[in-house]
Amino acid sequence: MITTVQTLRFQNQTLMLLYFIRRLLQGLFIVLLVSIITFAIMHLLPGDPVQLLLGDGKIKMTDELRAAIHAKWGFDKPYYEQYWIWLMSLARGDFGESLVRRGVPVREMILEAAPVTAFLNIISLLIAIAIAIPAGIIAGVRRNSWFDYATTFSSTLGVSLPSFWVALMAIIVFAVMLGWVPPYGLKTWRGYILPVAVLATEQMAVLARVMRSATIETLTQDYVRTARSKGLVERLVISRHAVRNALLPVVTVIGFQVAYLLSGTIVLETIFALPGIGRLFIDSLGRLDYQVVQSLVVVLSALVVFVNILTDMVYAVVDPRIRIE
Amino acid sequence: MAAISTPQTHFAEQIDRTAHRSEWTQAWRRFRSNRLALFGLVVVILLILTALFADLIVPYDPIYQFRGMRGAAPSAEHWLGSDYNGRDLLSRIIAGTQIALMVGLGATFLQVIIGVFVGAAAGYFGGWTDTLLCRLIDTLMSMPVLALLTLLAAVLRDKEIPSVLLTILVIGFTGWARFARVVRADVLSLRSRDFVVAAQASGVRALRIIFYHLIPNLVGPVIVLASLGIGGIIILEAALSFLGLGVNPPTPSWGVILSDGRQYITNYPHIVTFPGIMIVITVLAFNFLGDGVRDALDPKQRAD
Amino acid sequence: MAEQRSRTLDRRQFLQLTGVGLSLATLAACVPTESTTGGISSDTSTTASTAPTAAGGTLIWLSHQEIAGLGPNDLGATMQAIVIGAIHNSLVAYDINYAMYPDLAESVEVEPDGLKYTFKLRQGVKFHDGTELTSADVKYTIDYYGDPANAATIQSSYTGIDSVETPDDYTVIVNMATVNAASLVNWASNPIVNAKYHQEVSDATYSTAPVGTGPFKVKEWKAAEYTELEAFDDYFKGRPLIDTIRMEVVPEAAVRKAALDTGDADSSAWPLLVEDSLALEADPNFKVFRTPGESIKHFPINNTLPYFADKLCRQALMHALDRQRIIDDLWNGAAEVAQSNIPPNSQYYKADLKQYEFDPEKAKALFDEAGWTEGADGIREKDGVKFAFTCTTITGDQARKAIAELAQQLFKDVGVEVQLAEAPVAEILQALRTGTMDMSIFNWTYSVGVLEPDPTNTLASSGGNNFPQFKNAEMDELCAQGLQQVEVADRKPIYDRIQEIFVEEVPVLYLQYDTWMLPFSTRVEGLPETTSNTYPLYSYELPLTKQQG
Repeated sequence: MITTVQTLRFQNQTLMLLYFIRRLLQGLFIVLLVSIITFAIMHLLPGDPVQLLLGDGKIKMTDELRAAIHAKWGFDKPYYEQYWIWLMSLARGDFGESLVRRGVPVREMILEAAPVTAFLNIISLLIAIAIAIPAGIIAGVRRNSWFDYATTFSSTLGVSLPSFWVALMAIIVFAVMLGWVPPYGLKTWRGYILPVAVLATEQMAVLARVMRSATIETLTQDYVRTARSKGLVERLVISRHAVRNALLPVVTVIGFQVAYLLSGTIVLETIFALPGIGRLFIDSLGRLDYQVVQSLVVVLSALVVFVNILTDMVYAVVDPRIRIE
Repeated sequence: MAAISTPQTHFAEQIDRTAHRSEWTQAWRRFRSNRLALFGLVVVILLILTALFADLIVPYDPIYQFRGMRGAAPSAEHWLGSDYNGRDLLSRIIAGTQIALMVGLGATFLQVIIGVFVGAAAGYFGGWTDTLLCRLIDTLMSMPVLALLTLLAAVLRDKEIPSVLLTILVIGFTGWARFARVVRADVLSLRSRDFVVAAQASGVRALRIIFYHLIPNLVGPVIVLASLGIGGIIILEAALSFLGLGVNPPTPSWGVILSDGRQYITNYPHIVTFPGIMIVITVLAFNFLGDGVRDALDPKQRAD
Repeated sequence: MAEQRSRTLDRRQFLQLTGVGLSLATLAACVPTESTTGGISSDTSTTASTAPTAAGGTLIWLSHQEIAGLGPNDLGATMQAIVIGAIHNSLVAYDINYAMYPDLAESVEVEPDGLKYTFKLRQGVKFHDGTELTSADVKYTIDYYGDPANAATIQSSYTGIDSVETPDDYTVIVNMATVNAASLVNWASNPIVNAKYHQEVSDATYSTAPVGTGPFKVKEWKAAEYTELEAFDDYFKGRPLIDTIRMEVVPEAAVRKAALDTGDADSSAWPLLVEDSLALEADPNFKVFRTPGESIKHFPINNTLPYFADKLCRQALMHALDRQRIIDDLWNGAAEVAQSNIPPNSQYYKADLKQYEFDPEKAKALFDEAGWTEGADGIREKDGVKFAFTCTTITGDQARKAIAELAQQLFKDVGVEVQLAEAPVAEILQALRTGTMDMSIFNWTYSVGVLEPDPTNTLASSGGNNFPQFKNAEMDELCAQGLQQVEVADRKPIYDRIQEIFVEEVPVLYLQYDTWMLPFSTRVEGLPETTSNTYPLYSYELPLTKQQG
């Protein structure tokens, strides 16, 4: 026998599913749009990648040879055809070929670089979450205590320091002067310590601040006051209601972080010589390695779109007040 | 004031204005009692004064290169020493205050303008407008920010725009989404409030409602977001300088001094230390200020 | 009939070779080298004939850029050229004194008219896959990379070749259609690939997994992280004493210095900041090699613009630059003022050319003479055009940006206004070539380095990299003539005249030849006392070993 509640729940789940599918389709459209924009901008960038194969002048280049290399790379085809070729390669999954690392499909380059960046960011995020969330909650609950001031100050400090400055200072102090960690690279696990520490500090600062203000805000919400007035134990009130709803802005922030992923890691990867996506992007941009840059942007934007959809779904599930349009 | 001034809207506006006024006075009182926020305010005021009178305060010309003074350590003649081109570091840092504030305030202004309009339109009109604008925001936000900045800067570079303006434009055009989201959410909730419904019922046009009724209520959250964002913009400018997208030489922005000086970190450490300290103090000040404003405007503060 | 002597290598270069070999032997006393009496032995036994006292170990070099490819088409970037040089051999090579010695070739004969090169190859040279090098591999390499249809990056080095014959397995005859005196420096120094393997895989795949004859073979290649090479046991000159070489990629200069300080690396293959190099020079744990650079640090200027079109203006700008101050203030004295387009340690260098002393008054006089007079705002103008332009530096190139900033100030003193901008190097090189950029600053060779003075690529109107848009009929004529003479004595007067034109016309504002400072940890043994040519330091022809522990 199907009860009304079950029917409602079924209807709700179907709505959710439809919403999810609709968002996915919209997301696909967005990614396609991004690919066109990126392709257009890349080919608007002035410069000729051939020049970069020449070093500082010992290799001679003639106009005929330049034209021949361009033909080999398919640059003599009209733009829409070049775009189509690349789009098809995206669909096939190989993402095109690099102009600089010839013979290496872009997919391989991305697959080689992605784990480094992903690992770095995930570990940092886990550490940041483990420290910042509890700190933020406690700071929010015990407002104006010394703990609150300490957390506020240190987290504000954390977002006030340019990361490359911190990274270089860390290398000088911990690698050169103290010799505790290697100055760059990932040859041993010790190589991860400094980059993770620097990245986690930044993320911790942001998360703690958001968590604290979100906690403060939920603690003063009506439904929490209702729970309190019903006589529920303080701790239950906090953990059941406040935390669960304070997590929402945090999830949004984490979602935003993905879009800022690249900017955060480019700097650190350059300084610590980590072969991740940030370096791949900035190096390829400088060399006008078109398909690498385009593919990276498309992959990253697909990631951001997906994370945004997930975030919105989480919102819908967790907060009963939000209705799905 | 609204040209259509019916008794109903007039009365509603009167209530609004008195409510606002006493709210602001209370907020100011709350703000004053927060010491960190006061500290932030004082520092910001000092920075603004420095920027305004920079040309008078600098001991030397910020772009003049002294012979044989590369990386000279702090001394009596040059309080903070000189940089890798023999230019007085103190003068450059003072001049850099102008750039920091121009970029910080200018970019924020641009972000606020775009963000508020897009967010208000999306929140107020709803329906297809909302969906379209939201997806537009999503498209923009899904492109990796740095990719967007680099590409935008590269395309605009040849257009003979002064580099400070270019930085402002680039940061402004890529960072408005958070304002849009917040404004949209607030407008969505305000839309159903009495005074808005009343105005709509009296036939007040949409644009007027947005301008005169909704936006004044958004001032609080927007100010908070803006002041908290200025710090991030200053840090972003430093990151852009790291990537070579900063202001053009010999213009001294703190970010450029810091990133140009980073290869000399073991040889002439003062070149990176002092601008770094300035950036930290400035960002801290704006953050404390923003926190203070937010706490002051938060009507539920007293509930604790 | 006059005696026709075809040039052979053994007689003249032999002496130089043994001279080098002897000095190496005396300096590297702790490590006995192979016998040096009769030229390099073609002994291909698996180990060196004398037992090494310190074999094994790993040498770690630092690069500032990724190693994008390992084949002949990737020779442009210096860091890649170094790694490729360890994996391959070429027909001839150049030692630390820039003296040529036969590498894969046992002897080289050049016909007096320069139209025929005969190489006799060594026998028993093994590739990394075990097969033997024959003339077929050499012919294939020259044919493939010289064929315009293959659009190889290095194709221009093979210009003038008509055909390649291989009468037997160990003889290669290259017939030239036109004389190209630069041939030995150009294509004879290019790596030789394994023909069969290269044909099977494509050139693109070859770049990811090469098979050469060199002392090291590729063990692991991670372009953006490191390239690891291991010693090739059957190397025809004997297995290297070192087991492994790693070229690690560290983009940030300060971190490269840090790595040398902590001992995580043994040398930086790309120069560090001058202050850091000097600090290492003073450090007893390091040996720093100073060599004169081959490329000129200069401001390429667009000669088609009204203010740069007049020779007097260009000369005036030279007088306005205090080049010695730039070297003293911004380069710690580690450079020498450039007086010519040919590097000072080249045999073609002409010593007493016209000089441009720092003389702002003379500069102003020359501007006035050219009709560019000072306007009300202090900036010179003529016919309504202001003497104002933009100098674009390379993104992230902080060292040269500092020079541009000083130049900006010096030019302002004589009434010339310069705006500074930054752009990626791809954009700059392209814009200069197509004449859409005003001025930039970077290093470029206006010859082909110390060994070969030919500036066709940069100074001839047809040159593929004629950044200044320099069009001078006499220069074009001389460039063509210079390549057609084979003997140094015949070429010298031509290149003397070329240098005279260069300093008189000033197509670019030439500043200095940097002193390249390359640091090595003293843990590395077997290095020469001094060197003119830095390439052999990394090409593993030296009996390098590393102290353990």
